[in-house]
Amino acid sequence: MGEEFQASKPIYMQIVDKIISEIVQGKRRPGDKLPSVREMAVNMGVNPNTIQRTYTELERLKLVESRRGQGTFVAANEEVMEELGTEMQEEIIELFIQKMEEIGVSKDQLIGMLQRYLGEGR
Amino acid sequence: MVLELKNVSKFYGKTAALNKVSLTFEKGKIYGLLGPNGSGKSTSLKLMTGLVFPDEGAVKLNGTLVTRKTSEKVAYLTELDMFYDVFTVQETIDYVASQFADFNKEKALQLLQELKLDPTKKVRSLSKGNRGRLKLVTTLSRNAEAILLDEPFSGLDPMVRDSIVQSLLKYLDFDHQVLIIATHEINEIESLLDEAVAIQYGKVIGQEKVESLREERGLSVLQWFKQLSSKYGEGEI
Amino acid sequence: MNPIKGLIKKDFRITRNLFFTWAGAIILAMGAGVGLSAYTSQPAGTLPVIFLLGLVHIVFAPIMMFVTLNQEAKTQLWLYTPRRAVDLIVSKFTVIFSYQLIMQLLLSIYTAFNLFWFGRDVYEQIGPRLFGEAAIILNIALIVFGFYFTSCLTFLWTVYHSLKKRAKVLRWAAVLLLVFGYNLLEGLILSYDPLSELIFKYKVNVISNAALRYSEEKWSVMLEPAGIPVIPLLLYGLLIAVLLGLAAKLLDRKVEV
Repeated sequence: MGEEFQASKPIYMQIVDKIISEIVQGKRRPGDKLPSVREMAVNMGVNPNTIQRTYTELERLKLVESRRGQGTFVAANEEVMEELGTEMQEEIIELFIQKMEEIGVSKDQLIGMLQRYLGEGR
Repeated sequence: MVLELKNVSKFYGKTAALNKVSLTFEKGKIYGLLGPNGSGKSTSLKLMTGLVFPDEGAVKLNGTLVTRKTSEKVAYLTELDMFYDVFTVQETIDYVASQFADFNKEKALQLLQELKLDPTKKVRSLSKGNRGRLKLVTTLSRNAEAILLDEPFSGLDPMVRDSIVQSLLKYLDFDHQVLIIATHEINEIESLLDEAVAIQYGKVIGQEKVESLREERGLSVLQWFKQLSSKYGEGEI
Repeated sequence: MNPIKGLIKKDFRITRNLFFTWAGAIILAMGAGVGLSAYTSQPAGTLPVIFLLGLVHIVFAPIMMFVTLNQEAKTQLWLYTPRRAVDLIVSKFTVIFSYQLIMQLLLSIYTAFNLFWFGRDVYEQIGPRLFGEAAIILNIALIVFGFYFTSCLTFLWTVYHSLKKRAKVLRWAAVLLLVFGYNLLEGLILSYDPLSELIFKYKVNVISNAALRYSEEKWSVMLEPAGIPVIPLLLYGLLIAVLLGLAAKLLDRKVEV
């Protein structure tokens, strides 16, 4: 099969996540056409109904828009893109802080370390 | 297009291959008929093709009882070797094409190329994997209302499986066709399925939408099947 | 390709090798008959060969049918087609019938060859007209007999395979019961004199008896006309149709994959 999927999460959501991360990484740019449902299904080795749900969900999130008779395109929606970027940044920071806390680094120490790290890094 | 089994039983000697089974299949969906070997999967598919007749209950396609003639509208892929050894690949395709009015020769040609089958080769000299591919070509080339596949992946290596799954997805006509795959290799087809039917000892022990299983119960089809299976007694998968 | 043509082509294809083997063996036997007779300077030696080969071709069609039906029985997937069972059977009949015709033609030519050329000094000479008449009638009789047995076999085969779910002993018992029952019935009917008289009343006289005679260290062949009853041939024709109809019904409704 084209892809491996986790057991506990719906497959359509896993594909949504995958496409979002591709958009954020810039692999798919605003205005890019997404493959047709059938093509995507063939590439991923999943049921086309699943891909249909994926696209519907992406549309609901305003990340893509479907143009009648032309297909589905990555939305040129700066607001949403920005939001998505912020969201991802926050997610990463949250993960970072969580990990630091787990190894016993306090918030003050953390800020100090970051400043020192960034200062030296320049 | 609706295929239904209504309270169907089928006996072989004293053992019931199917025991009061009721199932309904609708177009636009891919179903998995899942269960260990000997659970009654093959019998169900044969019943739906009109190759075997029920001892009790009724099997219907679009409301009419299934007979031999039903194979006109139902494409069936057997787990057995369906071909004549002396035929070449091309002769095999020509024969199947002559028997089924819905056979699309162009599609067959395309599939042959995609699955890298040499039309001049004799069936006798084909490897097991290539015979499996040929069976698939003859089945998928039909624009039938229902496509029933019995263990389409058995004996095929993962690369071939991938190409077969891709062909399946590419050529299925979701507006008119239903696809039913009977297999014990659940992991191989999980992401293909809309609905999963678990069958064991000739009884349907569960039927679920695949995505609902994950959404509502956090289970993959295999996990779900294992739960059911342990609830209904042994039965290896 | 139309579906019936497709079936016939398939049936021809899967029996072709067997037929060629058979035809090869027969031609070899014919050659050996002539060769041996020439070697021993007894041209009449070909008569037993002709006689034997004629007999063998009563069972040729049933043997071919049995082999090809068993080819199909391996998977029974020949039933996976929207064609009616009668088409499936008729297709096999057509192919075997054409084989039978070819073989009988060979046999007729062989007989003519011996009668008019190779053995012309020892075979009692009859004109081409008498020979032609005899050839036609005997060929028809041979075909009718061959295909009567073929129909019986096909019918019994479908009975056996209809009982797939039962024990093997039971399946064979059913087949044997039918055979004995049928023969008993036939015997009973024929033992009713007025009826059997009627059946054997109409005969055509054609050269169909041959006898070897030995004199002066030379075998020669005497030919005589004998009556061949016509009604039994017609009855067998009818029986063929009935048996095939029954076989098709069983194949459609009872024989499973």
